This record gives sequence, structure tokens and C-alpha cells, in this order.
Amino acid sequence: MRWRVFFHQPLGVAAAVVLLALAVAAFAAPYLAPYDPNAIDLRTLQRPPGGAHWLGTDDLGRDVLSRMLYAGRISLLLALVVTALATAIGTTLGALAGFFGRWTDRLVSLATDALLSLPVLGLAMVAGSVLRPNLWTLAVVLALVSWPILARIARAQVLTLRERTYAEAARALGLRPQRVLFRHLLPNAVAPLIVAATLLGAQVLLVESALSFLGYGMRPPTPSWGGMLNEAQAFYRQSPWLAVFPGLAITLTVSALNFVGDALRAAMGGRGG
Amino acid sequence: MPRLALISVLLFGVVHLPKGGPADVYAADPSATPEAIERMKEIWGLDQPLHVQYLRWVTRLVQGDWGRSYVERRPAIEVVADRLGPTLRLTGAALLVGLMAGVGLGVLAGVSRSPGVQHAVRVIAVLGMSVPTFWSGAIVLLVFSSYLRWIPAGGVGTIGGEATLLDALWHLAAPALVLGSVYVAQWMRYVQAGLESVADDDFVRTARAKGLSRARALLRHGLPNVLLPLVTVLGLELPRLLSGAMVTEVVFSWPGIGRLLHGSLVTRDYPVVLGTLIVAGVAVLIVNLATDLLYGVLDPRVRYA
Amino acid sequence: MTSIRRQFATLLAVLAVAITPIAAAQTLTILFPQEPGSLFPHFDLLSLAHEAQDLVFDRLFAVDEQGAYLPELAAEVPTVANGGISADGRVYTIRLRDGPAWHDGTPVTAADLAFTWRVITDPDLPIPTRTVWRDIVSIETPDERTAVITFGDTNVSFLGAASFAGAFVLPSHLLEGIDDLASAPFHRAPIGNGAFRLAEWQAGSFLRFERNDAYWAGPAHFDSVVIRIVPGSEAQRTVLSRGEADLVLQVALTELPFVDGLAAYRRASVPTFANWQLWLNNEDPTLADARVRQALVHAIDRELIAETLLGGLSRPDDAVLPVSHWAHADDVRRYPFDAAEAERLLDAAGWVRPGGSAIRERAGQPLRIELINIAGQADRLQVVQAVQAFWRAIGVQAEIREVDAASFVPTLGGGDFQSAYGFFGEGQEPVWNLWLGTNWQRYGNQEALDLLRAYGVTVEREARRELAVAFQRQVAEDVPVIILAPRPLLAVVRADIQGFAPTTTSSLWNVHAWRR
Repeated sequence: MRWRVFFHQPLGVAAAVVLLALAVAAFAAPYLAPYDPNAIDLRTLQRPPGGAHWLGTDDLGRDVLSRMLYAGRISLLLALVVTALATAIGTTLGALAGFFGRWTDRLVSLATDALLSLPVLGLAMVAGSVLRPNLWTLAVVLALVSWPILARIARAQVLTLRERTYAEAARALGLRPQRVLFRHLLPNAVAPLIVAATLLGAQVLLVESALSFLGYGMRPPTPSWGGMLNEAQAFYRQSPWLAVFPGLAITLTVSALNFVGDALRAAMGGRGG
Repeated sequence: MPRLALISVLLFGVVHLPKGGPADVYAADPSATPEAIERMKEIWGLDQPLHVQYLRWVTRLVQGDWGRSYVERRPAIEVVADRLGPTLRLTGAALLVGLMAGVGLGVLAGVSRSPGVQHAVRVIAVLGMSVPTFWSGAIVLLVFSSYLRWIPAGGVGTIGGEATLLDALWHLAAPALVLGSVYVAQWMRYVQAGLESVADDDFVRTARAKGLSRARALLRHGLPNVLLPLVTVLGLELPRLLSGAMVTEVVFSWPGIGRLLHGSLVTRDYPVVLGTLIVAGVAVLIVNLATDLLYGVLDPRVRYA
Repeated sequence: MTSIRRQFATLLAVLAVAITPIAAAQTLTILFPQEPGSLFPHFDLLSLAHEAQDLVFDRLFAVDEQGAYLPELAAEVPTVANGGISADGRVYTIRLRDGPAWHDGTPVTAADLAFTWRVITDPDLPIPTRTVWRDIVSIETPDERTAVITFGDTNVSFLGAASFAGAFVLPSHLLEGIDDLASAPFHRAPIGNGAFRLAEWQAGSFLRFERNDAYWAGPAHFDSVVIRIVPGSEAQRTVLSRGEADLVLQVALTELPFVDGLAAYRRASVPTFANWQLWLNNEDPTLADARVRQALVHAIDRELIAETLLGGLSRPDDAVLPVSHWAHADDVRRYPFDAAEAERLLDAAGWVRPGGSAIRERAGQPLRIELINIAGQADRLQVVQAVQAFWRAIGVQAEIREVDAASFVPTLGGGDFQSAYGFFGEGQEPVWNLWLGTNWQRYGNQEALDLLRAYGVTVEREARRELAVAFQRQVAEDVPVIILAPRPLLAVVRADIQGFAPTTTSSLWNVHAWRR
């Protein structure tokens, strides 16, 4: 991991800073938010930004800034959890498949192919209508749908690395297969996985908003950026700021994650694709 | 064969998981009576245990009978077939847009020496995929259809008008652009990285020695090399494209299978849900096969492997 | 370069021609947010399907804006006075008009009415509602234009059932021999007797209807009607701002500011007998106590909700039948917004705040109420969140659970709920399905329900009204459900359209009389 290369990517650095700022603001929401994000005031509906409410109020009189901060907490946490889960599951399964081959490989590949060929939104919708959609069930569902991509990468990496000399040497030394796999192969396979993970995080935000649009997002009144953007649909013309703020937040975060991923890829010496 | 069976069981189980069935959609109406709803379930065989329903469905399926839509009262195959065309047009056009813009931007970034251009291109491409499509689609409608009146308000064609190619393209433009913008960043990255990776190859060096400009050399020798991985990735992108189409089709009133899947999930129209998922899965299979074949044709190295 | 410029100009010209809408024929364009699945009457309960069927079919009776019955296929409205209804309310004699004919020319006869009854009550057909029709014992057709309908017992609801939104008459000569009506092509290619006939159906996009020149009430002024399917909210607004639709039904209240800003359109209130209400599960241990239910009502500032979230279009009420209904009870117990009273009631019921905590407790259990809402509609979500906030203020923790439409009724019917939000309404002639039939709220006051049972066999209208009023008074005392306010139903119509007169049963009943 060539840090110097990373810090020479202006887009990546700027993006990382933005992400950090967003994350800090979001997780410090209880201290930063001027109002209770769920405090309804039917007498101050849809106020434009300015005055007592810096980002205005929504269609129930709730302060948009406060909701944005708490929503950021939820959305970013969701992205984090899904990425962590999917990476853990995908890497393990993919590595096992690549390393042991034959039946393990067949089984894992079957699952990956099947899951990859089904539309994510469709599956997530079905799951969303069965389970009560709170942060954790949503995270599990999205993770279950996203691990195949990481598994594929892990598997491909392990396949190529398996034949390298040091792996041969480790095996010649009589080390157990699991040891070879986890201590020697995986650390070298990490690069494309990390990149894929950042991109996955970005995807999660977008999928969450699409799910909200289709009606299967976070349960009210829990705010999430995707949910806020979805609720703002009825008011695009009356109160455009209700869509602009969560929309910008999502766009900014997703872009930033992409730029950081690009910079990481450059720093780790990987090739595109 | 067993793979298909497993997938069919999974699909069937997953689709039937959510509470409520096609009869229960009627039940919320004030005039519906519980006895009538129960009777509907009996007639439709929905009161049978799940494995019985599955067996019935799968035996009919292998004979080519996908069942009847509970909503449209006609064969599910017809329901899906009616809406397949529009989605194919939309996803095809979106892929084209994404490819052209992606390759174009990728070439620009890969060939150019200026970091400014490279950054600008990357920012544009990434922005395109960072905006939730239901929002960007709505903004496109608001600005370009409502205010500027440059594009229609959705739909596949002017109702009551002539079904001309031009009319169809005019309606296709906006949704294809919105859906395609999501993929621009990806293609751009592949192309740019691909070009950069071949910049030092012998082919290119020889070409430059012969007097070709850096750009020409890269393009003539680098581009074919770069397009190969694109082909393989096409198959991987299709499911995501279908998911994205779901949202785009709702926003632009596009009568495709994405919207059909969404609508039939809401009404629990099981035969149509299953039919749509099958079609989607088969489409992905076909595209993957085709890209594998294409890859074999295009890459001489693979043939000798 | 010149040739390119010329080509470009040609392209522009072609584009211009291609995009100019065909304005020659008079077309009425209606916007639907959802596509009807089938145009075969009686198989569907979707109100939009009924509206679409209304273009192609006629009913025996229509209901006008004042709520009076109008004869459509029937020649006159039967009453006890004119002998159309027997004194004991068991026999209805319907005389059909002379003019009505099916689109293939065959006249509409009493046999069609009898056939329709047989279809509705056919146990092998998936018909979602058979109310009233299933109580008919026989339909005799002494001649082609007369039907004598005999009920097993006194029936006071037949006129209501026959003018119900989906109560269209079916062509027996076309459908009689068909094996499985549930999957007949008639669903997608109906032959009706109405002012228009179906000309084209492009799945997912639009339905096009053409004028029936032989319509009995005279040919419609419009040459054709197009129902355009536009599900996305922004797309709907775009179509309106471009003036590409003449009518939009079931407009969400959140669209009011936008609609009022459109110069070419006006909003129209559609009469309805439905109330927005909160079902409470009266068998739930928390909600079984009347004081808790009363507290929950007092806690909600229904005036404010009606004013801000329901467009100020209706006033809150505590009567089961809304103010527009002929059997509405004016003097029922009221529950004005009174948070202090709500707190007092909860204290009396044993739900206290230990140590000043936000949420009340009783015997270590927090006062938690799950509120079920149907997902996907902005205006419902608004109200539900407002109710949640009001309840929180008096120490009740409401948890909103959103379900989709198909799971809503199984959830309520199964009893696995505490409270749920939705709308409900009786028809012109109440059959009290919600109280005597489904009874999701599990209301156990048998004396009150006996009033409704008596209602069903009382022929005299004024006596029925008194029974209904007595029932509403009792319900207001017991509060098994919380009535928020009558549900305002909105349509948006282009200002230059004349004749649009929506009623409680249908908006398109008189479409043949509309003109631009």
C-alpha cells in the first residue's frame, strides 16, 4: 500500500476528507442537531431554508438539518455494516472456493451465479416485505445480495496467487492449507477487495434510496437519506430543498467513495477492471 | 438440471414469503367479504400447502405453461412478452449510451496527458453514477419536459399519433440517458486503465517510432485490447441494469418488465413475478453465453488455451 | 456543409411534424396512476377498474351528486310507492328501458340481469364481493324488459348494490356458453353497452376507447377517450403542466398546491362516504380499556391535522357515517383535542410515568402501541407520523409498521395488530360489513350490533335512519375506532371541460354528456 501515491491523488484525498467530515458530522448528530429530528410541528410546514431552520422544514414541520444529520448516521452506518458483512462473507467463501476447488468451488460458484443473475432490487423488495425493515434486517438482506461480487474477486485472486512460488514454498514446508490460505495468500489479495468494498459501500447508498422509492426502505420516522429523498418526491416543485439536501448528500458520499476507491487502486498498484 | 431445480425452488419460496396473496389485495376494499375472499383463495388453489402449489407450478412450467396472471386474467407469458420489448429497447439503448459515453470519455482520459482533463473526465463520469436515478429522472422530466418542452412526458410513443421510429427514439432518449449514465463511470474506468496499461507495450512503441502520434498509436493498438474486458463485463452488468430499469421505468411511465415486476410484487401476482424473474435470469444467461463466445472470437489467445 | 445543413433542417422539420399531437379528433384524456387489470365487471375491486368499466358498461341505476338514484338501464327507480318494491321489501320489480343495446347491436334484456346475478353468485368464480346479490332467491323474467327479483328476506340495500361502482350488467348472449369466465378473453376485450367501446389496449401504456354512436342516451360529444397510465408522481405533474390530460382521478392531497397553481385546471371535490380512521384492536389487553381508547382520541389534535394535512377539506367528526351521508348522526359524543384530559384518563387507567419518564408504564410494561400503515403513499405517512407525535406527547410510544396493501388485511384479519390507519366507508345503503362482517376492531357490544341487525330488515327509511343514528351514538361512546375526519377525495379537471359531476359511486357515469 503505497501511501505516498495515495496522497498524490488530489481527487482521492479531497474525497477522503469529505467522507471523514460527513462521517464525523453524522455520528456526532446528537450533539450537532439543533432540533429533535422527529419533532413534528404542523404550524411550520415546508419552510424554506433560512432563519430558525438553516435547511428549512419538511412536510411535517420537522427541521431538515437535524434530520439530515441523523439520517446520515443511519445511511452511513448501513453502508458500513453491509460492506463489512458482505466483505467478510464474500471473501471467506470466495477464498475457500478458489483455494480448495472442486466441490467447494462448484457450490460457491452455484450460489454466486444464482444470486448475481437475479435483480438486486427485486430480491430486496421481497425480503423487505417479509421482514420488518429496520437497519439490521435491511443490512443483512443487502449483504446477502452483495457478497457474490466480493466472492468472485476473492476467488479470482486466490486462483492466481495459489500458483505463485511462495505459496508452493509454504506448502512444501508442510504448512496446513488453512494457514497457507489465510496467512499467506489472502493478505496479498486484499488490494482489489478493498477497492471493491468502497464501491460496494457506494452501491448500498444508492440501493437504499431505490428501495425507499419502491416503498421498502427504512421504517418511519427513522430518517435516512434515501428515505428523505423519497419522501420529498411529492414536493419537488413546492419545496425543492427537501430533495436537494438528501440528494446532494447521497451524491457527494457516493462520488467520494468512488474517488477514494480509485485512489486506493492506484496506490495498491492494481490495474483497472 | 439440479441447478435449475434448486433455483426454481428458491424463487418460488422467496416469492411466496411475503404475507398475503393475490386475493388479499381485494380484501382491503370495504365491499369485500371474508367469505368471498376465502372462496377466491380456494378457487385459485392458494389454500393448498406451499409444496403442493410448488409442484403444480413446476409441472406446468416444464410443459410451457407459466400460469395465468391473477391481475390481467391471461397467460403470464403474454403479460411478460407484452412488456419485454420496451425493456429490451431501454436497456439496449442505455448500454449503448453508457458504452459510447464511457468509451469516449475513457479514450479522452487515457490518451490525454493533462491531469486536468483526466480529473474532469473522472468527475463527470462518477457524478453520473452517484445521483439516485429516481431523482435525476424526475429532474430531467421537470427541466426538459415541463419547462423546456424538449422531450415528452414519458411513455413509449405519442398516443394516437403515428408509430414512427423518430417518435419512438424521441421518447427513448431521456430514459436511456438517465439509465445509461449509471454505467458511464464504469466503462470509462476500464477503458482509461486499459489504455494506460498498454501505453508502454511494444506495439505502441513501434507505432510511435514509425511516426504516429501518441494518441493514434494508443488508439490503433490499445483500443482493441481494451474492448475485450468490456465484453465480459457486459454480462455482469445486466442484472444491475434490470434493477435500474425498474426505477427508470416507473419515473418515465415506461411499460417494461421492471415496472411489471414491481407492480406484480405489490399485487402478489405470483405467475407474473416468477415469469419476470425467469425471463431476467434467462436473459442474463444468454448474454453471458454470448459474451463468452464473443470473447473467444475476439481474443485469439483464448482459442489456444 | 450546405448539404449537412439541409439535412439538419429536414430532420428538424420531420421532428416537428412527428411531435405535433393529433388534435383533429376530440379526445378526452384521463390520467390513471395505475393500470386496471381487467375490464370484466365484478372480478375486480380496484376503483380505477370500475371507472374504466364505466366507459364501456352501464348499471341499472346511477347516483347523482345529491345522492338520489337515477335510472340508467332501468326505466325508473322502483319504490314502495310505485310498486317497484313490495311492502315487505322482499320483491323488487325492475323495468328496463327500451333503448340500451350491446355494442354488437343486440338489445339489453332482463335475461342479461339474471345472467349477471348468476355470475356474481357462481361459487366457482373468484368474485370478491357478492353482498346483497347472494341474498336473492330468484330472478324471474316475465318478458324481455322486466325482471322480478325475489329476496329470501327483507332487503333494504338492493338499490345501493345495483348502483354500486362495479355493478354493471353483463351480456348473457356473449358469455352464456363460456366455460371458464375467470380467464375469458372478455377481460381484455370486453363488449359492453356503454357510451364508448374499447378500441385499443397497449399493456402498461394506455387504453383507447371510441364513441358508441348507438348509445341509448345519445352519442357522446367526445370522439374517443384515452386512459393514460402514468405511475410516477413527477411524470403526472409533468403531464399536467404540459396540458396533456383532461382529468386526473384520485389526486393526492399533497399535490394541492401544485394543482392550484395550474391556470388551465381546477380541482374538484369528489363526494365520498369514507372516513380516515384508526382501527383499534379492542381485544388487545392495552386497548381493551375504554379509558385508554378515549385518551388516545383526546390526544390527537384532529382539527389541526384536518387543516394542515387534509387540505382543510373536511372537519373532524366522531360519527361513523360522514356528514354527507343521509343517515349521519349529528349529536354524538365529541372528543375535542385535550391533552390534559388524555393524561388524566391514562393515569386513571393505571398507566403512569414512573419518575417522570417520557413513556408511561404499568406493572413494568411500557405503553407501546404498534400502528400499522399501508406503505407507499405520502399523505398516509404524514398523518400517521403526526398521530405518533401526538401520542408521544401523552406518554404513548407508537411504533409505525408499514406493510404493503396485500398484507394489510391478513394482518388485521388475523388479529395480530394493535392499531391501524386507513379509510373505510359505507355505501349509499350501508350493509355494515365492517361491523357485522370483518369486524377487525373486534367490537363486542352486541346491543349496538343488534341495532345494525335490525337495520337490515327495516324497510321504512326514516326508521332505518334512527337505528343508524342510535348505533353511531353508541360507537361514539365506546370508541372502538378513532375517526379522524371524512376522507376528502380529489380530482383535477381541465377548466374547459363541462359536465364533470362526480358522485359517491362514480366519476364517469355521465361521460357521454361531457363536452369541452
